[in-house]
Amino acid sequence: MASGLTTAERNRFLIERFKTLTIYGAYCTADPSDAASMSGKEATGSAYARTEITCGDDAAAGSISNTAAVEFPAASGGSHGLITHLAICTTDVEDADTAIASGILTASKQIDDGDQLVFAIGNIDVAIAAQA
Amino acid sequence: MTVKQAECHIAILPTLGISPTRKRMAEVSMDIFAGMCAGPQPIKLVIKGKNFRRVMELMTLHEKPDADIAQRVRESVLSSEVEGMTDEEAAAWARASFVQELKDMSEE
Repeated sequence: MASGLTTAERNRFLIERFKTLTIYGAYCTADPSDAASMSGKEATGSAYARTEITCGDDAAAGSISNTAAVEFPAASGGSHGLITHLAICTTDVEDADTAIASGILTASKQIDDGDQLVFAIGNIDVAIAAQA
Repeated sequence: MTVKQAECHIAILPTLGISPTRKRMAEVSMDIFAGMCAGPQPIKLVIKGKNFRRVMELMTLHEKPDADIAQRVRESVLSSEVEGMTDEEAAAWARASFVQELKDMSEE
């Protein structure tokens, strides 16, 4: 017999956490990990800022994704380094340990002076494991 | 300016050494709690499935602005507990009570 959250409950959770609340993307040069510790890992300076993420009206099959492109400010005056992870946070205050989820980028991106990191529609998705 | 496209796929997966059903509940609850317990000592909880909806309600309430939380408490049966408090104080009291309720629901 399968056990775990039902698909409906997974979807409800995702909508509550990733659509109803205002959430922000924060990109990092190291893994924030389960401890959600952003200090020393989140990019900083050179015009870096957390950027709001907008997710869809509903979550299908236990996953949810962004419905608008997430366009971070372009680096200005210096480099943000090699970006390896994205965290989803509940505030736009940099370095605050408010991550509720994080993941590794499919491919790391070096963000140098003048570069802008963009997540196109659908390129950030959050999923809760299905029943086993 | 160079625009660099990126992708990120985040999976919320079981990681705790408990039964598969509770792993999922606990993992989700731990993720929720990361937002509630910013600080050096995150609280470890194992939440039963039947309490999951309440966990979500508490989490959503916890992140509302101080004034909204204070208003809710003042309109509830607990209004006497926050009598004379500022919105900020009432919200802090309410948030502490949310955390305590979650601890009470925990199996650990």
